[in-house]
Amino acid sequence: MSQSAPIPCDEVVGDDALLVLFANGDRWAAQELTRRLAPRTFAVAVRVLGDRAEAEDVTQEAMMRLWKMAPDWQQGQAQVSSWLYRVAMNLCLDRKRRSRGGTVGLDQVPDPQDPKPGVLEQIQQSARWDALQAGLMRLPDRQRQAVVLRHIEELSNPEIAVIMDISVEAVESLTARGKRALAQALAGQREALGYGDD
Amino acid sequence: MAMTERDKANDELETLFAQARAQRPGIPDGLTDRILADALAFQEAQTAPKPAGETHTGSGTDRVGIRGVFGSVFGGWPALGGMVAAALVGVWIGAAPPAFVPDAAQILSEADADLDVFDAIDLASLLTEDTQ
Repeated sequence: MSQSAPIPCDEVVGDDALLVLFANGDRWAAQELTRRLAPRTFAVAVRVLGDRAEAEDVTQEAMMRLWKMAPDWQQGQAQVSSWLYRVAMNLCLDRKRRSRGGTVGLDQVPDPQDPKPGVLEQIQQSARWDALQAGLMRLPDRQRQAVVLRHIEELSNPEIAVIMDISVEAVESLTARGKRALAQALAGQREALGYGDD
Repeated sequence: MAMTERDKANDELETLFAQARAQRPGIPDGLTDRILADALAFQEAQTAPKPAGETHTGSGTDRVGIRGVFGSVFGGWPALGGMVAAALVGVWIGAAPPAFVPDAAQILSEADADLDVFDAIDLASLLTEDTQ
């Protein structure tokens, strides 16, 4: 198994080149791909599933599929990150379908990690976080995915279209309807969220 | 003033999105460790020597046993099973044909006995006719 020296700059080696290195047994490539891709996959999965434990499982499974696909990866066929998001989103959909009718672990959504807010501000931020997550969880699965990918991950509509395997117009429609529904859901909570004081 | 309310709601939503972007849930250390363990285990399995008797057609990750190549060319074991069965049926029909199938062996033997049109023709005489 080969061991190459770490290359300091992210831009020097693209994700697809790292996959080739990984397939050839390079351990550093495994570490680097994990560092680049796993955190965002986990963050999206948490938002889409509303459950950290399930998001961990989805992230691990999605990364496992990435490793298994590496030997067959053809450079230039797609962005590795888009491919991984797509796998993760499909895994999330599968889980939501399986657990339809079950309870959603909203209480497992993490608290904000701002290091220095005052107590009141911290509670308010936590309430805002929970309110956003609760609003997201009320959206249909595909709307929630589109909104998270567009407005929290800040991906472009064409990239989201690839990830969700739909047209750009469908992405625009999903995100617009999702935002409207979220705004309505949050409108009744303005005071509780502290926007009345702003 | 419905428009103003909508704008306000949109602004508040944008604020929530911005906060969500700034407070992405951090990946647990244990998860990173598990992902890396999966990766290294997969790499080791890929690069481990194959059992004796299996032929490799390449190096690194491009190694495929001859059985894999054979299977992929012909469509895998189910297709191979069908091909073997079809071959055996063909041999059986050739050796002991049903009543409605002409018996090739019999036709050939009859041709040898009754329809051997060249038997009476002497090639030398045909050539002689051409030169005359």
